[in-house]
Order: sequence, then C-alpha cells, then structure tokens
Amino acid sequence: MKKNIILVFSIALFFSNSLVTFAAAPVQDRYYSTYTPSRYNDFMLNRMNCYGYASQLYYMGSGSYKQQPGEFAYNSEPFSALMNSYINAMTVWDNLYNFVKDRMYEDYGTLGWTISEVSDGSQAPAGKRKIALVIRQDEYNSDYHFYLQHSDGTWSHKPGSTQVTNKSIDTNETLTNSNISSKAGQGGYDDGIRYFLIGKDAITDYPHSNGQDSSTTSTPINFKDVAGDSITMVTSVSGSRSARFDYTGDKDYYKFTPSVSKSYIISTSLGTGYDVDGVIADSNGNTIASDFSTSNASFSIFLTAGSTYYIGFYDYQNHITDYTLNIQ
Amino acid sequence: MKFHFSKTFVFFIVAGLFCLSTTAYALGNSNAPFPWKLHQVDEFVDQQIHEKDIREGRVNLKGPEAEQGYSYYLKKAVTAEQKSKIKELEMDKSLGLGEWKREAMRIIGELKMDSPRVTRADAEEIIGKYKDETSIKDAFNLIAGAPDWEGGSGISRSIYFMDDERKEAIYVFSNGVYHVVNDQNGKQTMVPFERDGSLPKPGTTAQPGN
Repeated sequence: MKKNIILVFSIALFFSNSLVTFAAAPVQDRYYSTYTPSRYNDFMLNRMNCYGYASQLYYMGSGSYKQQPGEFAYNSEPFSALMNSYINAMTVWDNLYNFVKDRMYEDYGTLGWTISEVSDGSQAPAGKRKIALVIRQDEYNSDYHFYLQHSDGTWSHKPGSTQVTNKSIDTNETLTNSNISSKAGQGGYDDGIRYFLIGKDAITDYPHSNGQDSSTTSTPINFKDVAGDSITMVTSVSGSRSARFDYTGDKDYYKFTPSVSKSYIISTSLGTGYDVDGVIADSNGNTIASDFSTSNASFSIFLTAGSTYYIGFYDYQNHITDYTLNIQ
Repeated sequence: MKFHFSKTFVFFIVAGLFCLSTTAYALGNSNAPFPWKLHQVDEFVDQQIHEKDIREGRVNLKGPEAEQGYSYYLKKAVTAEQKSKIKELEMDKSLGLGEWKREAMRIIGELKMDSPRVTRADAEEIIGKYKDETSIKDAFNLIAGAPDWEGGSGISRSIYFMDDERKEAIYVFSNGVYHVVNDQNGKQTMVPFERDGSLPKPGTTAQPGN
C-alpha cells in the first residue's frame, strides 16, 4: 500500500514537473538561435555584413551597408576616420585581431551588452550567445569575419553582402560545434579563431537609424526598439502611452491588464497616410481581434478586469514615427 | 457478477485522474504562463502580413532574385573549359573571401580579353574628379570593365591590378583609394597619390594592444 502511494505521487510529481518545465521555458532566440536564412536573404541582404549578422544589427536606410566594429562607440566622429584606423590596423600596426576585438568590446559596452572572450566553441550557456571571430592578417588584403552559434549546436555566418549560410566557405560542410574550430578559417581567414560570449537580449532586433556612409557623419544610438518585436518581449502598459515605430517593419507589442471590466477603444494616434495593422490576444495567445486591412486598426472590445491581454501594432507602410498608443 | 480490481490497477487509475485534473487546472488558470502558446500570435501576425503582402503585390512570387557571383558565371559558362575555369577562380582564395570579377567576365565573354587596365594616371584623374568611392569605382569600371577582385566580409575592397603580373594595384576601400606595390617577397608598400598624405590618418581609436 505504502509503495503504491509513493508510486502515485511520483507519477503525479513527474507530470506536474513536466508542466512547470514547459511553462518556465520561453522560446527565446526565436530568430537567430535557429538557423533561419530566409529572414536575412530578403531586404536585409545588403543591410548587414558578418558583424551585423553576429550582433543582430542592421541598417535601416536604403543601399548596401557593412557595419564595422567601433562605429557605435565612435559614433561622433566621421566614419572615414574609423576606416583609416582599420587601414592602419591592417598595415602599419599589423594587429587587426586586437583592433577588431577592442572596437567590438567598446561597441557592445556602448550598446549595453556584455562580452567576454572564451576558449572554445562549445554550446553557450542559457541566456548567452556565442560568436566567433576569424582574421586574415595580410596587409591591404586583411579582413575579419564573424560566425554565430545557434541553440541546436550549429553555426552560420553572413559573408559580406552575400546570403546567410550554415556551410563552410570552401568545403561546403554544415558548421557545428564540433567542426567550427577547424572550418571557420576557410576562405583565407588563417590567423586563428576566437570565441566570445555575448550577453544581449535574445529576441529584439536592433537596427541602425541612419548608419554611416559618405552622406552621414554619425550613427545615432537611439535606435533601440523599446516595445518588443515579438510577443514574448512585450512592454507592460497601464493605459495610453507614447510610443514609436523605431524602424522599417517594427512591430510593437504591449501587455495590458485592465483594472476595470468594460468596453475599451484601443488604437494608435496615426491617421491618414498610415496603414496600421493590429492584433489583440488573450493570455493564452488566442487571437481575439485583428485588423490587417488597408485602414488604420482600431478595436472596440470588452476586456475583463484582472485578465492579461496582448496588444500588437504595426505600420504596413513602414513609417518610422512617434505615435500614441490609445487605450480608453 | 463480481468485479475484482488489483490494487496496482486502482492506483494507476487514481494517478491518471490526478494528473489529468492538475493538467486541466493549469490550463484553465489564466495566470499560468504559457509562452509557447503566445508564439501563436507572432506566427499569426507574420502570416497575416505575408497574406497582405501578396494582396498588395509586395511579394515577388516569381522566386528569388537573379543569381549573383560565381553561380551566375557558371550559369553563363557554355563550354566545359569555361565552367572549369570559373570553378578554379571560385576556389582561389589567395586574396580572401571575394570574387575574381574581371577574369570571370572575360571567361564567359562579357568582357573583351584585351580590355584595358586602370593606370595610375587614370586613377589620379578620377580621384581628383570624384569624391565618393562609388563614383570612383564606376569611373574605373568604365575603363577596366570590372575590378579584378572584389570582396571582403567585414571590410570591403575592390582591387584593380595595373599589370597582368599583379605587381601594382589600386585598392578602393570605403574610406579612400590606395596605390599599392607588391615587392618580390609579397610585401606591400603604399604609394601615395598626390592628393593624399603618406598614410591615412587614423581616428581617435586607440592602437590595438597586444
């Protein structure tokens, strides 16, 4: 009898633990911890290079762009000055690796992320991401290249303005934790591989504002997307608030728990000239209202006090603009 | 008729009911987090935007853009010899990750075999006339057809060799144009253009530590 009771509670405990584990493990790193090249082989193709891909930074303007380690830390000086430093690191200083590393550390510090060098390409611990840096030190033919680790133990990279791939450059082999150290140097990056652990928000994408090219002299830092681009990165609101579509294609998600049960009007302040789409979901992720028409979304909906609701808005015309989230 | 259940059977039934009831309670409890379900919303939104893209004609239903790089050259190559030469170029990483453009175009017949090269005099005139690298490259390409090599993952450059032996070259980076001479040992020396100083002046970045 006693043995059977223990058995019953063991089974119950097993099932209840399974529930807890499921519920406490959000699907983080939705976009870049799984290998999803289609997300980068569209309009992003020319808006990020290997550094942009590994750091999940992309340029919002038109035309092609390659992010350079150091451009965020040295955003107040002309881009050409930073590139002059690169030429010196490639030639007279003859130490591109340390130069890139120093600038990357400065960038990540500026962006509010953590970074530390680690010894190998084993799987990053939970909450961290791992990238790898390879160098070709060859005077004016010097270059650097980055790789990004995924949660399934594979790696991918974006060589310059070409497509994201999980294959090695010369031998076209799938890159994994077990072969990254021997394959990452292909393509002439023969000056060793270094690994870095990155502490950075797992989901939110970080675009540039205007980037740096010949027509601009600085990279604005105010490009962080405050309201998350995914529903698991929502911003909690208690009512109406100021907001901003920070970049082309930005989706803003909010979490709202009403204190009063009543019919609410939920909309944005954007009017003519905009095409705001929207969605409202309940706490279980069931869509209870949506509007993806060509008019601006505005919802009149009864919400229950104490229940959590998720609200998402997105401007289909891709405006970058301030707006007010109205909850009345 | 008399039913008889073993003790083990009864306890398994009880255990099953217990698990079912705890699961039902958890699913019915609106305060319990179910983040994997919330992603339904992301997927729903992505799908709705995709369908709207199709309605609005924003999606290219014809498939991916035209092939680029070596896949383009291989497609254009007609003979086995041409294909073999293109593949050789693709494997040549002596300058790093990039593309031997001019030679590939010559192999497939898009560029004449006797196309001229950019000279130092050409370069002096062009960089005196244009200030941005895109215009400078366009002007160089009007002469040479294409850069001999173009690439770089982190740092882009276009290289125009000034001779077939590749002893001298003009490098176009995003910050400037450099005339580089390779000596017999492969050591490179920059020969400044008239408009430039001897070395590019670095920004305020610190020199790399060791």
